[in-house]
Amino acid sequence: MSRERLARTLPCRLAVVLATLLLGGACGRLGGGDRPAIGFAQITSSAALDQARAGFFQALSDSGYNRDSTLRVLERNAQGDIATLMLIMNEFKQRGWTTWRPCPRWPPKPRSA
Amino acid sequence: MATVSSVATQAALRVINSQPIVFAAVANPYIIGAGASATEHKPHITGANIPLPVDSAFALAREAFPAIATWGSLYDPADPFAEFYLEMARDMARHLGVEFIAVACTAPGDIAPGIQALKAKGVGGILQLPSVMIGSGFAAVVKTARQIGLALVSPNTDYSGVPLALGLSFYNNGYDAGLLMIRVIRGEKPADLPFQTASKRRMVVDLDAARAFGLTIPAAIIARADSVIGAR
Repeated sequence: MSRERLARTLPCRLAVVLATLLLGGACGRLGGGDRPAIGFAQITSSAALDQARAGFFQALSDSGYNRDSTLRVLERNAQGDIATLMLIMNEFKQRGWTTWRPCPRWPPKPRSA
Repeated sequence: MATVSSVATQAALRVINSQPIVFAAVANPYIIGAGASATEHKPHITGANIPLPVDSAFALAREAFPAIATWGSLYDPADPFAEFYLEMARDMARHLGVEFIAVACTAPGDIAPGIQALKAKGVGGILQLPSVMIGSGFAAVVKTARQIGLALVSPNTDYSGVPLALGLSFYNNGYDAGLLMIRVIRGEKPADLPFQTASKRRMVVDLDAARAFGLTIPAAIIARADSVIGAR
């Protein structure tokens, strides 16, 4: 791996490793709260992939699943690095972001005024 | 979890054995082992695939620039769909009666030299095959092709600066994946959710880009375009 590539991906790798070490076993299944939670993994940024990402979250939003309010999202971008991508997958697996408690009635209907 | 791109989906399939996976931006989920058909797939995965119409884009390129007898593309040998798209392009080249040359490109830094190598091999136009890595550095494809006088046609309509593109919407593909994710969140099993295949093609003509490339897009093609960018 070139020094330039390592420098570019190092912050992302360190973040993934630290998050896994610090939060892995301790916080349990993050998808088990009162809001659905999803892990979202992208290999890199490009016009096409970023469009797909935008469409994905728009569909969720159109159905009432808004990030940080009615949906928890742990998003990771491997910046084009396969080793980082595998770390991300293992992080999702260990932290439980690959699962969630099905919420058939979620999100709650807005209360009438 | 959700994955965007074939590479991310492949990685998820290696690590995650039973929890739900919803994918987007995957050209062909069968090549990466997600299943045998849209309805017969691994029980924990579903998603929206987007097989880009390389063959149709090639036919459009030939129609737009009939004087170009040799077309070329960069490809990333590590991309799981490299061979899939190369074969599609080679088949279409035979059908169209033109030559098609591909040059391997393994890092974004190889893009500009790769385009120059294609020119040195006699290529007159670039039909850039889909690739995650090359897509992340697509601006270099556009810039180099423009600088050295090669035509550029793309089977992906999301890149800017491309004179002519015929492809599918990644935004809509992501939206379809989002709809599947909602169904999974609400308790449906991925095994019961067929893969959704994008099919609505869109042709984009960028007249400003064409001028910058020194190209003239035929009026008949402009008339058929779904979107025309720039002043006529």
